[in-house]
Amino acid sequence: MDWDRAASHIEELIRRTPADYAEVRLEESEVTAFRFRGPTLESVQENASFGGAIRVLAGRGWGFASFNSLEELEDRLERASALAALASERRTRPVDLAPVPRVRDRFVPEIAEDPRDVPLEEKIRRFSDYNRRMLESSGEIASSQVAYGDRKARLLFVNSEGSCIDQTKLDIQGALVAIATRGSDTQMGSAYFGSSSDYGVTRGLEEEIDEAVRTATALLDAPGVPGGRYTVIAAPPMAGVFAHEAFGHLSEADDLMDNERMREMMKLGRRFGPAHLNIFDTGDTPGSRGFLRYDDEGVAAGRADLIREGVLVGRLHSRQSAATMGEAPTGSARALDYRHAPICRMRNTQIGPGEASTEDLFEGVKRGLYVVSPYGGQTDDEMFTFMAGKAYLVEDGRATQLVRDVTLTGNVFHTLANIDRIGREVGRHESPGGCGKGEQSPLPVGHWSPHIRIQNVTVGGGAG
Amino acid sequence: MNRWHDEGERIIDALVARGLQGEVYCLGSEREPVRFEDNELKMMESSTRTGFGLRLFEEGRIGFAAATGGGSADLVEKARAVARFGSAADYELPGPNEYPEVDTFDPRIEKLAAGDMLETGQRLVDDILAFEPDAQVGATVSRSVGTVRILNTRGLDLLHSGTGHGVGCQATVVGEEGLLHTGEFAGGHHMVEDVEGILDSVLWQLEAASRIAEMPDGTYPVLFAPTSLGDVLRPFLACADGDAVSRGISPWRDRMGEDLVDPRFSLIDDGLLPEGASTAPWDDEGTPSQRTPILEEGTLRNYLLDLKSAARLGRCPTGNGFRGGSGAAPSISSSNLVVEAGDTPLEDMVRSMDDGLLVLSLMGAWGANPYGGRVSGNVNLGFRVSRGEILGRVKDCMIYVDVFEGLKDRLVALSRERERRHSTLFPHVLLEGVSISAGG
Repeated sequence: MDWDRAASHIEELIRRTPADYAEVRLEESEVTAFRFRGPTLESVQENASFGGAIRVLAGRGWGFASFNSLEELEDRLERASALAALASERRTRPVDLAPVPRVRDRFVPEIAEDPRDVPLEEKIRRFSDYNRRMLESSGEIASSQVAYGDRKARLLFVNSEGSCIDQTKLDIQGALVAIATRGSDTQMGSAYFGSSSDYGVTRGLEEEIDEAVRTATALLDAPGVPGGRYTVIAAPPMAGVFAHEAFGHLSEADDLMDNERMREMMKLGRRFGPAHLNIFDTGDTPGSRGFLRYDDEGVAAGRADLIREGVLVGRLHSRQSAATMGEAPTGSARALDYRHAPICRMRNTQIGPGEASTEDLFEGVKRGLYVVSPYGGQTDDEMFTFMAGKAYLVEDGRATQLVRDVTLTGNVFHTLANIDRIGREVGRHESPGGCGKGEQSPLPVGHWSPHIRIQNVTVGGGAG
Repeated sequence: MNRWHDEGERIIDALVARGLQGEVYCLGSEREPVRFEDNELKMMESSTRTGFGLRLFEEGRIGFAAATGGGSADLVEKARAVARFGSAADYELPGPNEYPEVDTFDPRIEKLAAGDMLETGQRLVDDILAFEPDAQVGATVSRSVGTVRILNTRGLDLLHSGTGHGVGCQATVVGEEGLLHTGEFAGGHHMVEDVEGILDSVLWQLEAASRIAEMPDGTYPVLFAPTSLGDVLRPFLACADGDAVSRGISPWRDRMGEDLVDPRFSLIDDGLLPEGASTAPWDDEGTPSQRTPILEEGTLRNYLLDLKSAARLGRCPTGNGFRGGSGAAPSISSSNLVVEAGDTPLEDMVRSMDDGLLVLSLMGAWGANPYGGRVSGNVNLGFRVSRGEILGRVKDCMIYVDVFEGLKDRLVALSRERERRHSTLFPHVLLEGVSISAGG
């Protein structure tokens, strides 16, 4: 496809629409993915995808149409415009868009090693070696799951305000899971990687893999923990998921803008945590899976401070939520791909570093949990849960015993206040998969964090 | 006239010309959702899709390539390039077969106007707000029409169209006690007739949750509503997955025919379930759909199998090879899930509970190692039941249950009534001795 010609054709087309605002996104992507299950290379695939989306604002109404063929462009623009007109008749609240600078740019991120230049054979060989290493490491490793994926996309964004952005995005991610069985017990340990700039992150994973094997086999002998309330020390990968689930989602302003009570609860200036707590979200972390130059409304994706010194100072905005709440856009309007309209999302959510050393974190903990790696998490904007893939019991200030099946839960509005220690060093953890919101999942995000300690966390458990 | 899926024929012709085996999955669809958020219409959408997925067998190896829109021209060459490194071709594609008749096309949905869907959504929003003016109400009404064509080099050429209609709504109340999330949905291949039922369900949830009840730590009987049963069943489906069985990681790998749970419990994967949202004449590999009992009166009877796992285990495929769209290679998934009803009226089950919990939805219960059978989650919407009466909503607590042990030794009753929702048909299930930890 000739991108420049497509861009000028689209600019011409939307100049003629009577809509108050219109934007067109085109996306061309290439994906390579493969998966080992046990010793077998289970699937290998190459996907090529082309698609586009149109969003039209007419009066008070939004219309959206997506498509797979450029030939459909004019028809789909008509459909989106008709839907917008229908929507406008129905809505009572106006739709305003915060003003943003007009951007005309072509952006290609700096790529250290491009996976698209690496022959498939070489990629498969590397992961086949890793897979063999796992499977041959211990008699109790019954199987494995190894997944690799890379995706490179070129995106064109054109809007009726004169912005035109041609942006390239790269995403590399995967996981290596060791599966141990004994009798009817099956346990897992995992290693993973992610990047937006460097295939090199797939090199030198031997140590992580060996640790995954040790975890899976050791979990066969690990007991559960009794349910109850614990002091929890979270390692960076886990603390990152915690920041994402326990606070990040609540900062997404499209869920707040038309909800008076939530706006009241999320008033800027409200204290959420202790004075040493800082949380921010930024697209400006090259290399992270949450790296983003421009969001899907053509807004530069810079840093947004969410909590500064324990106090709520900002949130994640689209142009509409920013205008509705009288705040500034943050470049947080993201669409999973051309099939979806942009909504407020995180990029790389981070807890700022504190002053605690590792000893400080464990100091004085009579009975607690050290949660090391995440399995996943979820929130409903008030309660959150997150699951540990690997956790230790902490007794008298020392991590003593590996335990299994640790699920933690808490209330967003109370738990942040219980963070009493924050480590000095930020872990730049990148994990595969991504974030889900509504129908849009998995969106690449990052969550970098230091160690944190949280008092009084509820843990589900039946043992003991 | 050329149809979009004629492209599939050209791809098969190209394979045959090169003397290759393979299969093309062609998917075309149109979907129009109308979304309400925060008591207002949010956006009206329309999407059209065409896509092709090619699975190719060459020199004993398999390659998969996919494309959307016009990108299918070099699909064969792409798949061949991948097949050089692909997995071993240790199974065969199916030839033509006998297929069941299923009713998955509703012409009313094809003609459904955006304006009508708008009215349905607006009515739900208005009626909930009339009942609870403090609620933030959202609703989604959608219609879809999709066509799938599967062709392979063994002479298979299957064409099937289906419609879809979905109606759902959520109401959130922000109160002094925090957030209350309620919701209900219905959907399938036919027009959702009972919009009133969706509304009634949400209003019941709002009403029942207007009081708050404490729940001290301990073990209690827990009544799992059909909406939360999916979390309870997740470990069972993971263990019945033919792929996990063939790889030796499923704890059920050598337990076929054994009594695993209470004889009152039967779990069936039913690809033919009338009104089931996943009902189709065949799966995404062209295997005829069927009804497959997984647990029959407590006994393990079948695993869920796609072509590959069936070949590895020396069994017949059960029609459980599904794809998440044209871009994904097939893998094992359940179709419609059915749990057989018990003989206790639901009302009697609630009345029999001296002190326990009714769970409508859990949060985060999907996130643990499924093979262990331990299900742990935050109670997103649940009610304390005391002396047979619903006392009030329970917040900020977690439940923890070993569902293998629970359904074996601690099953109290299954309700006589069942609820049909999307691709499930489930009763209420009462287990005793479930551990609950309350929040601080």
